[in-house]
Amino acid sequence: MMPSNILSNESILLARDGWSPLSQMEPVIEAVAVDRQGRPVLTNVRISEPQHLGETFYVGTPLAFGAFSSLTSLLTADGQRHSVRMLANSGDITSNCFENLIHFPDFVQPMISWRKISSSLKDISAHSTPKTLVLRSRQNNDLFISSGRTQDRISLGGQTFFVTDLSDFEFVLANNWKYAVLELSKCWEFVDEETSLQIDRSSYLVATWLMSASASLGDHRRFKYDSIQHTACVTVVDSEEPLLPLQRAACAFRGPLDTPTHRIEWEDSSVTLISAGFLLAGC
Amino acid sequence: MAISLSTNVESYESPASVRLGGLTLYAPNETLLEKQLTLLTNAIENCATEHLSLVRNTLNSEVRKITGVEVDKRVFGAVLGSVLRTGKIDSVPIAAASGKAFRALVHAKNIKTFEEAIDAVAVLLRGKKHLGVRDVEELLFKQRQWGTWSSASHVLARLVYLGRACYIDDKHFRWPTEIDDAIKHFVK
Repeated sequence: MMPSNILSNESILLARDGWSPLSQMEPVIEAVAVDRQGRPVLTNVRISEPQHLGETFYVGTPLAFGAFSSLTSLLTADGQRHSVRMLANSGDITSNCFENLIHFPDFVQPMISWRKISSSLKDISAHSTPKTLVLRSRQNNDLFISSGRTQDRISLGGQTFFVTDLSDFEFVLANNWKYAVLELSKCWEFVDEETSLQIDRSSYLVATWLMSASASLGDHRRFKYDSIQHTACVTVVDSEEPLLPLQRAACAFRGPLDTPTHRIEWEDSSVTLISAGFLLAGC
Repeated sequence: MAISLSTNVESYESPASVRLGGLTLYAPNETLLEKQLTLLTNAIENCATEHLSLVRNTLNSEVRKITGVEVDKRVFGAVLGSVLRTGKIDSVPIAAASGKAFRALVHAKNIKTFEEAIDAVAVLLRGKKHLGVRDVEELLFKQRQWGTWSSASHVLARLVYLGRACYIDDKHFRWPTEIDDAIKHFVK
């Protein structure tokens, strides 16, 4: 029997083309997995149609943040499997360590597109139309999301809006994903006691792409949360030191809304899949 | 009943304890610990249900009214955190007039209504171009009550956070018409 697990409609998987929301994946894909020696490999994965509604849980470490179903089983660093429901209900998630994988293996060819990330940008792109992209930044910064064609910049009440042609933005995404993700992330820049990126929880797909881009460029960043028991935003701050893959859990909780679940099965029983940087246990 | 939950292990001899996030709460014994946690949790949930949204300080004072006792801020924070952890309440980032962001608390039962309110107010604001908190309060609530003005302001502040409204002052908001003009200009 093939190993399987249950994920939420909000979960993301590391596929051959980078992080993708499960809700937008084909029924059969090639996903990145880790074998028993810790080497990244590709394996075929079958994803079911959305099934019944289930509770949504969130788990975060300084390197990774992900949405899961209550029935999702994660591997902790000691090789034990734990349901995310149990982890969140324990009240003190910090006693658990995870091995987080956010660095893309060489065989991954990252492809990021508007279709893939648009649902994660709702909090910053409310005015966009099918052809025109409008991104909102909370700071008065510059954002280079256009390949050189016209880009309007409007400052209003402490916010800055960037208007550009959507196809132009697609071009930038396709040609230099790391640069595009770093520029895009400026939309969430927030200057308080320290400069940070405060990314809405619902936009964690972009936060995960940002961590992979940072890892690839040798920039050191880490996630912070509102508290151990809950977070509304995934806050990204600079880190002086590079973070090791082994990370202590920093946040876990149940989301207020139920979401459809998907059953995923993969061919190779000796490997584990990667969801938002966490290793999925095969059941 | 006085709340005897404490964050100090030395408060009681051989106390019962529970770890909530980064904080450990102590009570004289298991029975009191469970009883008082239940009292606080229920009070937090009940108060949150009665309002479309509210901020932490308001929730704390409402809980104080219901329970009749002063709750230590750290104890309240830990117990509120445990309610957030169960998904019964969520926190929603909203924008202050100062440009800072803060969190409104919305009970899970009210989330759909809160989101519908945001969409309805966005449509109204787009049509009217300007709105006051009082206009939104009248739109969303049949009767003015304690807390309805604040919830109306939270809905508008959420629209600002989403870039769908701008502050004129802390009671008045406007639609960013410049964006619509820019899009028209850009399409041409």
